[in-house]
Amino acid sequence: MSIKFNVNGKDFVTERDPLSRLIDVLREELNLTGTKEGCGEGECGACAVLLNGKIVNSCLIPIANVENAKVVTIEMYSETEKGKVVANAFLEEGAVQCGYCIPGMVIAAENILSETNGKPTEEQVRTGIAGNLCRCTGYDHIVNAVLRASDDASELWETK
Amino acid sequence: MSTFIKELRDSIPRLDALDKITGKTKYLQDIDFGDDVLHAVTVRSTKARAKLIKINVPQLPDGYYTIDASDVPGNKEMQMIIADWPPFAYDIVRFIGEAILLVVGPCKNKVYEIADQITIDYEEMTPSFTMEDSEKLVGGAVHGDDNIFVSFKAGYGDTDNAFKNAKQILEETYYTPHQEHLYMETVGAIARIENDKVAIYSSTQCPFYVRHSVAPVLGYEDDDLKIVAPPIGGGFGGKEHYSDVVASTVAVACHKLKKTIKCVLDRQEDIAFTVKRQPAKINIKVALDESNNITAVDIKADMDAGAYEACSRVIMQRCTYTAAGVYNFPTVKIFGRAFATNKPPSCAFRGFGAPQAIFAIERMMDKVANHIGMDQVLLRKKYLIKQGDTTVTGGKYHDNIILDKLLDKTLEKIDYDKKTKEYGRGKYRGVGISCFIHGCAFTGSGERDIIKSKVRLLKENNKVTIFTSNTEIGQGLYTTFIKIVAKELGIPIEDIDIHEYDTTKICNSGPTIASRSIMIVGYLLEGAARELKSRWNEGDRVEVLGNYKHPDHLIPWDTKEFKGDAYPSFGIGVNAVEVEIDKTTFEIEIKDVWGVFDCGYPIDDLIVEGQIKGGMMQALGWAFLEKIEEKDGKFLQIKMSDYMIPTSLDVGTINALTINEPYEYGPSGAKGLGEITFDGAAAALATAVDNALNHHFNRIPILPENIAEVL
Repeated sequence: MSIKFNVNGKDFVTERDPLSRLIDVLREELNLTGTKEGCGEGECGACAVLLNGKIVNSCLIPIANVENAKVVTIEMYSETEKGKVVANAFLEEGAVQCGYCIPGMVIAAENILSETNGKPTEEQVRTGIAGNLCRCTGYDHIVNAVLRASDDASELWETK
Repeated sequence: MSTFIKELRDSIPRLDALDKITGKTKYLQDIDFGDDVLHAVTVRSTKARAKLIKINVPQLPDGYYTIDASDVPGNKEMQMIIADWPPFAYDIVRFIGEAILLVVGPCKNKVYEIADQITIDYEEMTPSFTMEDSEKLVGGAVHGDDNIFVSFKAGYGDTDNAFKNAKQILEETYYTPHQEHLYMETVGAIARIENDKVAIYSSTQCPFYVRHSVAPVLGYEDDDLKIVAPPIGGGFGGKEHYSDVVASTVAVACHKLKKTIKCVLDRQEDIAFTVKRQPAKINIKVALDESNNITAVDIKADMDAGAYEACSRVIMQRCTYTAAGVYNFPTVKIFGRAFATNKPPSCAFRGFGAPQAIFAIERMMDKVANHIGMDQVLLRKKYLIKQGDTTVTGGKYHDNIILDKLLDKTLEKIDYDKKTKEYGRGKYRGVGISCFIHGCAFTGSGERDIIKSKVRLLKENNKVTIFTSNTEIGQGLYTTFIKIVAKELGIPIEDIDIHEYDTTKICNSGPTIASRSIMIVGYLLEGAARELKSRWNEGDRVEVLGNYKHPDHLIPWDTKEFKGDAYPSFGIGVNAVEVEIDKTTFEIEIKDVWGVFDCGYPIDDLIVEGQIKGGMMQALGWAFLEKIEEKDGKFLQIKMSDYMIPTSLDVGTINALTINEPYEYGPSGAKGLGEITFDGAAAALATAVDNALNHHFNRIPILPENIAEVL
């Protein structure tokens, strides 16, 4: 049985077992290694991707559930205007240490900004990244980075 | 673009960050050699202590193999500090989770399936699970004939006489638990044949440690084994020696099969079976005279090292030499021992024995202060060490110890006087202060006699390459090393790079541990860059080598008596934590946190701030969240959903500040910082909770159930 879905703007068909995890298809078949595996049980958020625009942990998603859906990974998101604003904010605020959680954090940042019209409060940011674990930074610089992305270009996330 | 460095402390965007943000950085698991990879899964002991009788392997499909101790071509044990830990157990298993064999093959799911079908016949022995069992030699010695890996003494003066003449003696025993590193990237290794030899790609902080450990297992000379360390997703000490274990097993498989072998632990495996922070039991007795002056302190520090020695020798030394804290007591006696038990080995974790020691002595200072009715900070101030004082190893505090300055700044920031007056004791709010120092770099003469760091700078066509073995593990070294060299040379950072961590190409500047990379290796790079600048016009290609020189002013370390300067210099810190206790949920709510440090000179303010925030967060997690229980040699919390590290909601903002006293032998005056950020927050939190509840907590973590018992 083949399953068809769209990854980073391109249609893709896989013949894998429908219960295969989305993360494995992304990393092993498409070589999209920006999506990281931290725990394999949906606790750490390192494997976060956007599924039809919403954040999901790709280690918990069987590919049967993504039939005909649109998946965006860090590789594609980084190329977008929003992605560049977020990346610059993470850079400037010193939000990155070992970096392993960061692609997932960036996806979480996108989710927070899009859900708050680009203007999250600090509390909304802290709640919005609570599903993404980081063992290096203590989170403050990551929180600052999301708020900075908002300061720099909140209009990108405004819905009219 | 050309970025010149004028002031090292002025922050620049980290040079490794953009690739990490955009997912381009290739960590070990992301590397694709284009080889046909065989995946390896470890079959582990299910017994804590047993004779290994027989491994029962089912009929294997074509292309699938098992590898065990009988396949090891060289030494059966890895060469860590001592050679006691076999990568594959043979004859006897000593902890649950010890590797017995690998199953390898092309399909990972099939490999797991085969691993599940393998059974092991054991003859069970009586295990020793606790330090008390270990001391009583329950089941016979696990290590040597007394179960003590190492013991160390330190101190000065006649404590016996002081205790004899004491008006009062106070005593307490403090307990700190295991802690899981929970680096986000689990440990792994890939071994492949390159130039007819095994080469290993390892998720490690210390590529030369892996080489030294694994080469004898393969029957290689060190120089014949190539180790490559790709960027790593966090280490914190957990990838100091455990990386050797995974690397050894895949190396043996690669040696036998001549194929590329990849082993990456899954998260549960990593939590359940890899190394942890040493649990400690520290007993302290304090003698007081009739005027409530402290006349003697007697400390017995025991640590649970687990089944193999790993780093415990050096961790126990650091714990022993840190145990009297930052106080110049009239007389001190310290005795530290590391016990063998049938549990996963304990090993390095940020702080390396110091946080356990600091927790105990700082809590004891509170106990004494409360007992004699003196303010907790005033008691500390009475005994603070200062420049020129003697250390517990007969060394000297050569540099200015600015504890008083850091303390005053911290008290001002947390508003200590006002809050302690307002909150009193037992009114559900409290502030706690801790004071501490951390010896930078290797203990004793390690830097001079064992590590002997070397660095190399190579100028080719006006571009400079840095050759060192100190890896970027998240602490910002890729950026700070380049900044140091750029500033000295006066060339843009864009013209400088650091060579990939391949042991056949780089210089051995030592391991990435012990808060030594900036102070020791950064200083060597600064000197090498100065020399390169003076020789810049000698040709298109100019090479400069730098070799470690031990500072002349240090009191030589006596390796038999363990006397002299245990550390060349000290980082200094003061932490403050304010808490409120929820009367209905018994939860600790953290209201304010301050970390004020002297790191000599911050090479990059934002990186330093990030280290402080991150280190303190890990320590707070250890102190009030990270519950880890053990039963019959097994950890009960082995998933990320059970082992709770702090999230973005648990602590809130951690305020970081530095006040700096430049160190003569560090780059621009910088000393070590990486570990001291962990050392003091647990003690400060416990004191704050103590003050809020008017109850002396002698162990961490302090969980809601512990608070419920008190209320």
